[in-house]
Amino acid sequence: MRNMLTEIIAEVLSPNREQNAIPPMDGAWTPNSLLEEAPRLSEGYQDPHDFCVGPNNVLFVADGVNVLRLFGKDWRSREVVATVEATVLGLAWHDQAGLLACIDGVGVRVIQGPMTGAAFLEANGATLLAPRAALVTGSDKLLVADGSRGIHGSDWVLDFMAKGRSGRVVAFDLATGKGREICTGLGYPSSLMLSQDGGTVFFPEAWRAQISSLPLAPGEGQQDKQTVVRNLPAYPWRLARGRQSLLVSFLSMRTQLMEFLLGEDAFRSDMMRQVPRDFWVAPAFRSRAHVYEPIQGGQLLQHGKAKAWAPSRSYGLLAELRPNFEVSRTFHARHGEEAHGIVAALEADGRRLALSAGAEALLDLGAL
Amino acid sequence: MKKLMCGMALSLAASIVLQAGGVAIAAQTDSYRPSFAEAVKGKKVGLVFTDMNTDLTLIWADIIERDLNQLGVETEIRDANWSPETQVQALEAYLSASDKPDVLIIQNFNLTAAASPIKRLAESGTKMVQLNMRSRVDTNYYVGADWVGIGEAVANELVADCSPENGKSGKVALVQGDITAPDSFFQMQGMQLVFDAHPEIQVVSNLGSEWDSSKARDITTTVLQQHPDLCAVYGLWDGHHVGSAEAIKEAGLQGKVLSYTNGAGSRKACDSVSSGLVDKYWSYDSKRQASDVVTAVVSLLQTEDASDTRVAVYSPLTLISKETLDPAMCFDLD
Amino acid sequence: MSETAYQPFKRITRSVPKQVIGEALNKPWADSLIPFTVTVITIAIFASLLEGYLSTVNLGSLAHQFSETAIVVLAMGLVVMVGGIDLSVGSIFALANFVALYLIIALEVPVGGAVVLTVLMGAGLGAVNGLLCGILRMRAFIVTLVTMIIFRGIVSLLLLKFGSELALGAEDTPLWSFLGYGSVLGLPTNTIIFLFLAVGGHVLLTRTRLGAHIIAVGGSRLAARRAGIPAGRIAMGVYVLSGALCALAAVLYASRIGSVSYTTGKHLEILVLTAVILGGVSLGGGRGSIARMVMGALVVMVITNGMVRLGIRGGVTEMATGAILLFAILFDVKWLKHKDKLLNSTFVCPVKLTMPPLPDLTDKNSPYAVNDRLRDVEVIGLDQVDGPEDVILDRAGNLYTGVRQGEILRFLAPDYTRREVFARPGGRPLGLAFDRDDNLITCVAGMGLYGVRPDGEIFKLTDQSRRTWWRLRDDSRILMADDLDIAPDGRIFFSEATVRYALSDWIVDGLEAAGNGKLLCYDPATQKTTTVLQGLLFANGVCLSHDGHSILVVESWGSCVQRHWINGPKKGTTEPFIANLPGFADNINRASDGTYWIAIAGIRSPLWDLTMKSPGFRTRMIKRIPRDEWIFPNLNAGFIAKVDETGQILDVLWDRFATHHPSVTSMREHRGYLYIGGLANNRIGRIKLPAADPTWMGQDSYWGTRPAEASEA
Repeated sequence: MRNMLTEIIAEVLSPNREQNAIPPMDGAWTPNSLLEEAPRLSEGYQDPHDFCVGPNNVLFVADGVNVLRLFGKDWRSREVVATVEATVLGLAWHDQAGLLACIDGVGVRVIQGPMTGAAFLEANGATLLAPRAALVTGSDKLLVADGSRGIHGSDWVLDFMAKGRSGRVVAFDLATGKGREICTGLGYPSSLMLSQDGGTVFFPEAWRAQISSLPLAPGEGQQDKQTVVRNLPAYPWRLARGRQSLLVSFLSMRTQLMEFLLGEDAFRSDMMRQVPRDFWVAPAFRSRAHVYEPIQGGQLLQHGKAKAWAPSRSYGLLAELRPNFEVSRTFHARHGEEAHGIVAALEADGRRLALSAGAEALLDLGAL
Repeated sequence: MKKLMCGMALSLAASIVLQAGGVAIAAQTDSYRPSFAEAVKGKKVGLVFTDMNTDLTLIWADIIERDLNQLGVETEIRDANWSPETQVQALEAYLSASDKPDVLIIQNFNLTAAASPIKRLAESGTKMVQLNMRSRVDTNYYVGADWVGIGEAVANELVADCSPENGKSGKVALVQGDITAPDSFFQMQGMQLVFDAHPEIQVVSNLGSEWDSSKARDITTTVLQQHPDLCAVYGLWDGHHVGSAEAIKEAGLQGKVLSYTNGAGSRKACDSVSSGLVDKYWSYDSKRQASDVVTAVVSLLQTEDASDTRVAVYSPLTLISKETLDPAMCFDLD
Repeated sequence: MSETAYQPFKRITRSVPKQVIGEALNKPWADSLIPFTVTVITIAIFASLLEGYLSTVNLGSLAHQFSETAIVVLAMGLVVMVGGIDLSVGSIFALANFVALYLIIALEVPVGGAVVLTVLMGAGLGAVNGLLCGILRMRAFIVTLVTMIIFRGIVSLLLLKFGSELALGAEDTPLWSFLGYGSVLGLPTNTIIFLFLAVGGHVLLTRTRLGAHIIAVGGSRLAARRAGIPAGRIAMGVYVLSGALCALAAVLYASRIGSVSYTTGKHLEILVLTAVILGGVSLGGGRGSIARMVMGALVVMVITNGMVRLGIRGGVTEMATGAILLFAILFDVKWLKHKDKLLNSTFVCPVKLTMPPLPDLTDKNSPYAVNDRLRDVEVIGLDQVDGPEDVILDRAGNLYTGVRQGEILRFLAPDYTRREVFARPGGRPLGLAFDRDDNLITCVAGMGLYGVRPDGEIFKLTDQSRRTWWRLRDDSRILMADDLDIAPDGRIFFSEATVRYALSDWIVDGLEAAGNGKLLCYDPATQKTTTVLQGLLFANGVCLSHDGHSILVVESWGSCVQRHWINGPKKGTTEPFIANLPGFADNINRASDGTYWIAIAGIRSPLWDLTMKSPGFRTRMIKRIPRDEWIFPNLNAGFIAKVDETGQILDVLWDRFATHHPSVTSMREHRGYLYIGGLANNRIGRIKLPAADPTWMGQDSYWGTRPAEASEA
């Protein structure tokens, strides 16, 4: 009753107030089906999380607990180069260090190359439970993005539901393996990208739907991070530098229901306790069309077809940004399509590639 | 020796007698006090004026409240704010109230509006003092200007000052406030008598300004244009006469066209005379009127049955002109 | 007791109190609620501040002083309702006051004559306004502003010339003092006159054609003209009436106050306009009522009079009036603009619903285990039907279905490639059944229970039931008839899915979970419709049991099916048939072997069950995010279940990959085949039932076999 009164008063006095301010997808963000229509170079990746370019234009793909090497024409040939104890959440190749694997619940380890066996596992007293990206800067420093302190990478949805802000960027000394936090309180950084001059590192904060930057100054102490792009229409997942552009891949679109739910604490905690995790209202890399999956109104099939513009749990989205972080074009896979969950994208051998968890495939987005 | 003893005995006796007489003298009380205290105990007086922001009403409220409160009488003000309707409402509310005031002091807008409630209040036993502006109904007391007398006095001055025999044109303009108000009505009665007897004085304009000084100014400007040889302008109240005086000044005729008015006699009256805006100002001294009202109230409170009481306390007039000007003639509002 | 047992009392007492508020706000008299509340609050405040405020003496005194203003409020209110505004009411009032007093005092006209003449003069002045605003269509605001100034000027001139003659006031003739100070039945004369006018005005506006025309012209002048209403003349008439009313009020004022003054009626138009708008009479015209105007007048009068009596200095009262006017206009504008949105959001009142434990569909041993038996259906009418909710076949094997366009289509046996429109009842035809005489009886959502004769002629059976006595909202119109079945004696049992929402808002009923559904019974012999069951959570499929002694009725949101006995020892009682389904059932029909087919149109999910337990969450969700974003029941998946007479699940048929039938709303067995429909589908499916009786069909089961009848289906 009291709520109804306050609602009525608020409605009369400020009727068009902003409730959930998700920016509409128009202009350069206008949806299309480019990801769905893109040719699939190879398929069958059960649990892809990241990929990177290795020496001689090979690709390393993190697929579950395996690390695969793709080679040959169109990267059609593959072999397993390593199997680790837990899911590989991120991969990076550095000529001096080797192949760095971010392992769920463990930390970062070099699994191939010159520094094989080197491990970077903890900083400031906390193990890297959700290492998502590793970046070697200069010749002696390793930066790692840890999505959340205290929550495993595979449990990222728990951190999302808790509106976690415990993500951190850790700087390790390559030689000694000692690490310290250089930035904390982040909303799930899952990627790192160095600026052209090497003085700044960019990273997305997925839960904040923004991209932030951090100056890399020598010496101790926390640095001040800054916001580079704010209020994106989806949760940014990975950043990659291309020759003339930046590529941002997204976990999934933001929906008004999700924003609303993040404000409903009682219901959210009930949901987390009483509903199996797979059936939460939460962003996802893929939709399994299980009968128990939550359905939103717009997702009801009409004449057997899904509405492309409906809100969706999972979504395929890759944005191409100019060096000044303005979006120039976007690639989508809409509701009802398959190529959702672009976990990573990069440019290799003159081609733009994307890795889709929904399609379990490597997508070819065309020559540059 | 015997004489001395006798004298001493006599003076001793006398002192004893005198002393005894002194005790008897000391036992004499002020017999008015008990009945006075009884009369004012728990009594309430209501003030219902036309507004609360002119000099008359402000000084009245000031003095009356101050003095009555000091005497132990409660006072209450209801502001009609220039609306006769509202004044009637206020009076009607008193009629039906459980805690009626014992004495009401009323300044009317005109002769008729409040007549009925006043009559019924009187019938219900409320004692009333009409202040400066009466209705057509009599009440126990009238304290205020003798408007007919003022009209006569001013008219006589105009005859004297504007007569063609004295080289003037004989033309005068009258600027009234509200034509139906008692001050206009009765002043006109008084002036009409005089003017009837002096046909050489011609009233070229006799319009109402609705108490509004800008209307008075417009009227006066027009009259001055129509009659460049106008002798005098008489504003029937100084509140709106300000506009007429300014019109005269703007036409550059200050000093040539006589500017007469009457009013409460606050500081601005003396100022306007000394600055030349007004040539002759008849003051009925509202400060003194207030004291007269207090007297009337106190008298009424001590009168059990005042239903036959009909007393008029006309305010003496003071003519303020450049010749007679004395700062003590005007009161200040604090 | 399980949530899904039939407990109408519990359901109703839980949901109705909340619904009452929403329904009250949606009633036409709800518009008066706000001014009424404001009036009551204002009177209460001043009654508490001023002693003896509510005594008869004081109230009588207030009535005496304000009745003239109230009459002018009526005048202004009527003009505003016809779409205009009359700013000259104060000036007409002042002029009429002067004229009345002059006639009586100076010209010594008898009182009655003076009253008539003055009112006529007022009408004449109003006619000036009416001519310019009503007939010549000039802007009312400007015209009446100008006439206000002109009439006021005339008053000033008259005052100047004749004012002094009136200064001493009038003789008190008996009639004159009766008007001013008399009383009738204990009320002052002017109050009686005002009440008479108010009642007359109310009757005029609500019961006469003229009143309807006035409101029509105010609502939309152009539309009124197009409808044949002489808008110009009506507007003119209202202005004339306004002038006359002002003059009458002025006469009463003159008899009471008896003085002419340049301040008479000054700012009356502001005061009166404030009262009119505060009462909720919209400045745009066409909305309002006499009662509301009076309430607004009461509020303004109480406030101004109260402030005077509290001894508050003059300027403050005017400021207060101005502030009230500002607030009233602001609220009026906002209310009009957002009323619908606001009312919609208060209408829905979600209630907590605790569902029984969800049967586990992922369990391979569950009787509901997912399969793909419907993948290879034969498709009938692909893209030729839009939403075939229910399907039925006649004795000749022709296939009938109701579609979204409001038609009943017929596919001709035996190949079902030829399609024709059998009947066009309109609305949204849903449930279908054949009666004893082979008439196709159908529930048409939005209309009611209809029938179609074999030759295609449509006839109405019923569109009304008895109004539920404890509901504020009149629910006698059948909003959403869903499915039906016919008892052996011809009585038709049909479901009214929900009494609060139309078909397009079916999901809102689901989110409300309040048990708004009913089972109705139409008896063709008496032509009466009675309510059999109430408080059903979306009454959907209806099926007469094989023995004809009970009616099975589906509660979709309850995920259960109830059995209501219509014969035998348990007649009139209701018991659960199936207590806990893993989804939302739709239609239920007889199968050939003494069992039943049930269509499960959607699947319950753990999240949905949780949502049903969180009414506050649902309320906020409905208000804050658009419909496409709401959590919905999963109607993208469904299946067909076969149940026996005890409610045991015997078999389930799924279209696991949603090839043809992601969701099923109805199925009908006919001669060894099962025909499948779907509310959001664009095809009908048919699957062979190898174990079924190839000669069995519905009509025989209900009405007995007929000799002859040709074609094999």
